[in-house]
Amino acid sequence: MDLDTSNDVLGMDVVEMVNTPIDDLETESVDLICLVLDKSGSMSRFQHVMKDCLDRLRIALVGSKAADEILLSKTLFDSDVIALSGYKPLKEFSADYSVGSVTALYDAIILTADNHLRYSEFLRSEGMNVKAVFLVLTDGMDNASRASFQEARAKVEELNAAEVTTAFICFAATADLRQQLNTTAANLQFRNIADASADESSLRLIMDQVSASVISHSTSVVNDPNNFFSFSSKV
Amino acid sequence: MLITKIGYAHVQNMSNCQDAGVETEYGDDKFKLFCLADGCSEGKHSEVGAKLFCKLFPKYKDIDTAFRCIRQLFYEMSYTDPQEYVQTIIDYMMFTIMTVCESAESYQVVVAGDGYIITQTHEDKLNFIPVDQGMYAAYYGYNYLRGFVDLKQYNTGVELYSTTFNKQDVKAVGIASDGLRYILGSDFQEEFERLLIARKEFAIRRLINKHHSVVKDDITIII
Repeated sequence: MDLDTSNDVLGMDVVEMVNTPIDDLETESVDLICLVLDKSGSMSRFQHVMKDCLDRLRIALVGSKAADEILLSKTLFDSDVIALSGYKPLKEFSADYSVGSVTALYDAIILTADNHLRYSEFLRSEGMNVKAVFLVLTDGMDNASRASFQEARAKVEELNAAEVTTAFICFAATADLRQQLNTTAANLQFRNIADASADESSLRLIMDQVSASVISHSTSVVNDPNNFFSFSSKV
Repeated sequence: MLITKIGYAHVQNMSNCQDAGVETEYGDDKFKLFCLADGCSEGKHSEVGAKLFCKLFPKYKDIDTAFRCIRQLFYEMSYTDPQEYVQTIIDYMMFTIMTVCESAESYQVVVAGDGYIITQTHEDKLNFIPVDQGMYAAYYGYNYLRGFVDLKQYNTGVELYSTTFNKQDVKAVGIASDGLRYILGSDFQEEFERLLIARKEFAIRRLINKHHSVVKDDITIII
C-alpha cells in the first residue's frame, strides 16, 4: 500500500483520508502513538489476550490528562501489511486483533513509518505541535519482508532524527530468540528496547507498562527519547 | 472563547508571554464577563500582575477594587521602603486592561490603555475598533505612582474609557490585546475572521502557530 500525497481530494490532503482530518482535531498539540504489532501465526495463542490488552490500553489512555491530544495508530503485520488503521482519536480506536501467517517485520516498519512521517509533517505544516511514539512488538525475526534490513534501519533512523520516541518489545519464547530480537532491535536503531516472555502474564504486564509510558509521554513537556520504558505501571 | 498566544518576538527573546485573560459568567442569567491584561514589555514581571488581575477581576467586577487588592499585597511586602514599593509597582503592575460586561440590553466595555474592541453584527460582519488612549500606554498602575515619580501627561491620573454596545445593534462583543494588529492587514486575516465567526478556537490557535513569525507580539482574544 503506497500513500500518494501529491493531490488534494475534496479539499482534504490525501494523508487526512487515512488518518484523522485536521478540522476534526480540537487541539493544537498531538501525541501520535503508533503500535506496530506482530500478528503472525505464532501469536495465535495470544489473540484474545492481546485484544484485551489493547482495550485496557485504550481505557487507560482515555482516563489520562492528555487524552484529547492522543491519536492512536495500529498496524498488524504478518506476511502482508494490510491492517494499517491510521491515526485516530481514542474513542475511535479498535482493539481488534487477528492472527495470520509469517512475519514481514521490515515492511511493516517502513509502511507504518512512512504514514507517520507524512501525517506528522502535514500536521506541523498546519500549525500543530507534534510529539510521537513508534512502538513495535514482535515474537519472531523477519522472514517475509520485501524490504531489506538496511531499508528498515534507515527508516528507523529517519524516525529518530524526527525526534520520534522509537521502542521495540521483544516478545520471545526462548532466551536465544530474546537475544536475537534484542540484537536486531538495537541494530535497527530502536532507542528503547524491552523484553517480555512469550506468555499471557508477561504480555499483560508489558502492555500495562506501555500504557504508563504513553501517559507519561503525553503529559510531559520535555521527553527523554531514551527512557520510554522507565515509568511504572499502576497495575 | 479565550485564546492567548505568546508573540514570536517574545519566543526569540526568551521572555514570558505577558498577556493574560479570563472568560467567565455571572448571575442567574449567566451573562458574559471578560477581562484581559497586556503587560508592559519593559515590566520585569508584568505578566504576574496581569495574571493576578485577571484572576481577581471576576470576583469584584470592578477594575479599581481588583487593582487595589493586588497593590495592597505588594505594599505589605515592601511598606518600610518607598523606593522598593515604587519599583514593585513598576515591575509588576504596568499592564493595560480591557473588560466586557454583558447585561440584558447591552455590552459595556471598559479600557485602561489600548487594544481592540471586536463587534460582530447580526449579519455576522466583524469590526475591529482600535482603542488607544495616548502616545504612551495609559497603564492604570500610574494612579498608584502619583506623587512618587514624574508621570508626565499622566501626573493627573489615568482615567478609564467606557463605551456601551446595544444588543439591538450587535450580536456579540469581544476584546483583543494590541497583538491583533499583526493579523489585521495580513494575508490570513480573511481566514482568521471566518474562523472567529465560527468560534473555531483550535483552528485559530493553529493558524497563529502557522504564521507565528508574523504575529510578533503576544495576543489575547476573548469573544
